Amino acid sequence: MNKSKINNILNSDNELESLLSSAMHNVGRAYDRSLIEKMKAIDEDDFRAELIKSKIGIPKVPIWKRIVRSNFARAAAACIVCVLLIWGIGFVPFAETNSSGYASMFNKYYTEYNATPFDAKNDRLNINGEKSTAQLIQDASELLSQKSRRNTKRSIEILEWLLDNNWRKTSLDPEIHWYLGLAYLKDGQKAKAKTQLEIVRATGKMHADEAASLLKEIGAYK
Amino acid sequence: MNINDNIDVFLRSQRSKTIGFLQKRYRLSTEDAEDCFQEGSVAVWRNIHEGRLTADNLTCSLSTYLIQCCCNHASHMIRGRGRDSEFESLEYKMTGDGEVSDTAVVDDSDDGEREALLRAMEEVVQNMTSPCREILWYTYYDKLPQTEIAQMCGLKNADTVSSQKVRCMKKLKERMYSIFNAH
Repeated sequence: MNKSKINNILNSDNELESLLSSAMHNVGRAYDRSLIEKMKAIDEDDFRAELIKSKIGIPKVPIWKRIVRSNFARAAAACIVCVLLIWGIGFVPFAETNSSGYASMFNKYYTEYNATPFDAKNDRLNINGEKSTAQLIQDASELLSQKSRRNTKRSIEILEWLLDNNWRKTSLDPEIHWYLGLAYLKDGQKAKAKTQLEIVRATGKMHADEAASLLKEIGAYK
Repeated sequence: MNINDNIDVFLRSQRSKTIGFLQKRYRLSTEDAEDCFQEGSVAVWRNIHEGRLTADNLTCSLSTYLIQCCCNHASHMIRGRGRDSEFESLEYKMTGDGEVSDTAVVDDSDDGEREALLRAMEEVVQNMTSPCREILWYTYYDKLPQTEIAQMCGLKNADTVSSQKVRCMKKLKERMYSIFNAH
């Protein structure tokens, strides 16, 4: 037997397909012919008996599978998913979707910050012609009042930037720490929130009492 | 395709495949699809007994013929005209090219290598596993279009059939190589 000739035939897709087609033709014809002969040999009653016999042994689809596969079940599942999505995304305020008690604590202690002209006086940022520290705290505070988690993150960014860049410590430092603490709390970052609130409490100035009481509540909340 | 010429085995192997196909194509309930299979099978038996179907005038596999008979019955059932007398007199029609072309048959010349390959291939095609078995038999024996093969095999679409077919041909080639390298 010439192996190279065999390899040539096998390497050609057309040859292989032709070979396959021929083999199937030979085998299939023989099989069908024999089957037809067998069918010819039995009468209708026997054939029906064979049909019934072939039915036995096929596992029935369990009811739960039928329900799961039904279009009704699929439509119901799609509806539930839609309702959950709408409920989760649109109609429930941020604080309520955050199931932790931190959100309710935030709501209890949060008040919006209003910058006064006095706050901006001698502010290095203000002198440089940019927004004053007080104005930035007000921006951050406004962002915190909104539902979106993205705004909370943005608020944290502003306040952290202020802490890093407000090298000339001002009387507004406790405000920054306070709002940053609240922002962390709203974002669910308990440890960071506690650190900021500890700083506010230690200053003994504005928000110190609120910080102390909030720290107690955080401590009590598991 | 199970190469066991036993009617029981044939019917068993066809039943679930045909019922699944009918349910998918005609959106029939399991019971209706069962009925169609039952009636289709009996119609095949009757056609054989009445001489309308012989091994010589069969232009596709018996398996495909049976499925087509069941489809005809399902169509009639859907249209509300599923009368037995009409069904039994149906002529078998393939949706694709059901003829096995003569050119595909290798002539029995003294080409020893080709003959050896053909015998080996005959062995291989009898022992193929699913889904290659169905895909290759429907493609090369029944010459069905790929969309129809997709429905019969429960595949997504014709492209899936095409990619599966390429994989199956690769396997087949490897099998043939292994047979001839072992000798």
